[in-house]
Amino acid sequence: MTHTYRLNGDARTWQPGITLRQTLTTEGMEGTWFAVALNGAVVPASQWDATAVPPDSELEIIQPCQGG
Amino acid sequence: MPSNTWELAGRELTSRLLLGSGGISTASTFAECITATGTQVVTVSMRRSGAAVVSGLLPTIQASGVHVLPNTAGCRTAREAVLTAQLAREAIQTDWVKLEVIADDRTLLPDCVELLDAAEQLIKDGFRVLPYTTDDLVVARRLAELGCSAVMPLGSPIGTGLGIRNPHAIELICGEVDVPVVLDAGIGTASDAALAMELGCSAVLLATSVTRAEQPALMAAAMRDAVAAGHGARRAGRIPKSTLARASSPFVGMVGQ
Repeated sequence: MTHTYRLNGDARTWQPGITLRQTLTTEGMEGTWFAVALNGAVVPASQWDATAVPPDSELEIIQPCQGG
Repeated sequence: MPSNTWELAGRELTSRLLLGSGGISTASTFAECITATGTQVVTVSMRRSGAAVVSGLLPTIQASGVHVLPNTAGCRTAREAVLTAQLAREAIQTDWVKLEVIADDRTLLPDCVELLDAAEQLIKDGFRVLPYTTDDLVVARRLAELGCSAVMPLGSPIGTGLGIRNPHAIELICGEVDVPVVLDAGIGTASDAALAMELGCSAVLLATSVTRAEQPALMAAAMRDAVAAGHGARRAGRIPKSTLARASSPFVGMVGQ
C-alpha cells in the first residue's frame, strides 16, 4: 500500500524513513526566510535533519509575502 | 530621548510611519516607497511557499535594512493566528507580530474575542504583540492590560480609504491606554494620516493608500510629510474650538472711533 503525506494541502508520496530536511530539499526549499509546521506544530530548522515525516502527515511550508 | 523619537516594542524609532507591503506591484516601486516614507518598519504577510510573492520583494526588504513586522492577516481563529505567528518567528527571526484575527472576508473587521485570546497566548509565548483592533476603548484597554506592546485601532475597514470614521474614539483610546497607539487601516490620503497624529496617535500604519496610489512614491512622500505635520501640530497644542468668532485684530483704534 502506498502512503502519502500532504504538503501545503497537496498529496505527496511518502517514503519510509524520509526526514523533514530531505522533503524540503526535494521541494527546492533552501536558504532562509521560510518555516515549517508538521501536524500543526512548528519544527525549528535545527531539528529538520532529525525529524521524520510520518505517513499521512500534514506539512506546511510558509514564507513571507507582500501584505499588511 | 529627543521628542521626535519614540519606542515601539523595545525598539527606538525616529519614523512614525509603518509601511505595509500589501498591494505593491513591483519590488522596485516598493523600494522607492520605503525611501520616500523614511519608514523603519515594514509589514509582510505569511503564506504557503509557492504563493504569488512579488518578484524580488524579500531581497528588497532585506537590503533596505528596515525591521520586518510579520502579520497574521487572513487568520479567522486564535489557533490559526498563533501558529502563523510562531511560523513567522521561525522564518524571520523576530518576536514581533502584527496580530490580525478577522471576522469575515467582506469587512475584514477584527474578531475581538479571538484577538484577545490569541494575544494572551502569544504574550505568554514571549511575543511582542501589536494587535490590529477596532476603535473600541474597552478592547484596546484589555489588550494593553494583557501586555500588548501597542494597540492598533482601525480608522475604517482595511483598504477602504475612508479615513478615520470616529475621531473621538481614536482620541479617547490615545488618552486612556499607556502603550503606543498606531492608527492602522483606512487611511486614504495625507490628511487622514495628519489627523491620526493630531488625535494623539504615536504613529500610523498604512499600505494601500500608498501602494495603490497613481504615483506610489509621490504619495509616500506626502504621507511622510503629513505624519510629521500632524505630530508637530499635536505637540504644538492647537487652539480650542469655538462656536463664535474671536477677532484676531484689535477692536481699539478703529477709524471713526
